[in-house]
Amino acid sequence: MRKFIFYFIFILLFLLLQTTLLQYITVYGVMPNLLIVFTIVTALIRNSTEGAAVGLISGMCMDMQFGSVKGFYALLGLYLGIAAGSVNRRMYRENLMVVIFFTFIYSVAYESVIYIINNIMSGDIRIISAFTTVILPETLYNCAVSVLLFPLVSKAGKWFDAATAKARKY
Amino acid sequence: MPRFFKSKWFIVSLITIALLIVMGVTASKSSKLNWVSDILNVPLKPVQAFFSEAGRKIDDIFAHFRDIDALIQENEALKAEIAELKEKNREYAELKSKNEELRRALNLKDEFGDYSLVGANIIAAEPGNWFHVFKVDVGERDGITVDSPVVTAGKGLVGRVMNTDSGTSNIQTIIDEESAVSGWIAKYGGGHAIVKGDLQLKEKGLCKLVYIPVEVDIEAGDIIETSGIGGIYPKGIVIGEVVEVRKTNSELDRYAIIQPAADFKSLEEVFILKSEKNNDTGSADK
Repeated sequence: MRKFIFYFIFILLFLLLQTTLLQYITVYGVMPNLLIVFTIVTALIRNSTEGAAVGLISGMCMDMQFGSVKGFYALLGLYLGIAAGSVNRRMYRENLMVVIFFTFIYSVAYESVIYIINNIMSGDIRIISAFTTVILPETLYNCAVSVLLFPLVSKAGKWFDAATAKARKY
Repeated sequence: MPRFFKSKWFIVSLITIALLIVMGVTASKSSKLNWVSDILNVPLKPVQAFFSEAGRKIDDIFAHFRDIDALIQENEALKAEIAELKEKNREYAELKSKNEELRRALNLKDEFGDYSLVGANIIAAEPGNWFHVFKVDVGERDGITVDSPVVTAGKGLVGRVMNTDSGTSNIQTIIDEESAVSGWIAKYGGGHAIVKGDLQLKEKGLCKLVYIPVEVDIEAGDIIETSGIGGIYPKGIVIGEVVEVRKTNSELDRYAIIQPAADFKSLEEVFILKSEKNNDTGSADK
């Protein structure tokens, strides 16, 4: 329950920042996607279940706010969390470089999927132009944000674990 | 088998199927599921309005320092332009009165007569980088319907209402890549063309004019208006001005860059044209 409230509050906070203040601090016309970074970082540091839950709920929030077809971002977020969480067992997860590296990989994958799905019907897919104008700058920006989110999620994770361990003692 | 029902993959596929069904249901325009969004949108509305306003204020403060040199130069240029425009204005006033006279004579109906204006404040914008969609603080309760045209105070076209909830609506702007508006090149010997958003031009607040008829002699400075074809936008709303004509391979394959009349960078307030008579005509605009 504590976990759920923590994640939910941060998802709402990031959604708010994303739709309002972040619009004013774009670099090369793009802004980072806080919710995606939050999903990826949570999945990497914690596990795929928590990552999937964060991805699903942030996706649902995005759908409610801006989706014309509701459920699309929720589904993508769910898969993103599962995918990002599935690498952590083979890696030393509490390492900033690992987090930055996978934020890069998964941001590129996520945005490419969104671009392709949105444009597949029109048949007008210009992946290189999409890559240089949106995907790459956003991904680099996302990596920078992951540096900030890493300590937050890491600390919160330790706090959850300590709370569970304490609960088990009694 | 019972273990399978508890496994992660079973839960994931269950959620996937549920979400696919939701997507299917909400894909149609007449979806009755929109109230679900209100759970989030209603409580977030005042907070977003506050944050947006704060962001604007902070941006204004920085812009103040950033732009001071540019503003001095601009001021000079504008003074010269004002003098020129005053001269032109005199000519236009004359033409306008003449036009009105002729209109009365022909008994032409004003196209905007069927609409009333609803003012709306922008409270949030789309979280991703692909689209140019923003959220305003009026919705179904204020009589806003999907596909209502949206304009600025200066009657420049902004876009259309994409979807509505009880208290908020999302506006798709004309610089969004998925937007296509039927335009009219407003000059002697003008023609129909399509105004489209473009991913690369979006950042600069520009859009594209494509499918320009071969016989039209288009050049920088030409005004593009809505054509009224398509059923969403009434005829005669100013979309923007041509700033550059680019030829690709042949004369047939040219396109123009449009500077929209609405300044999307500094947009704070828009007006939604609320239709007085409810006509559900099939539409080619999207």
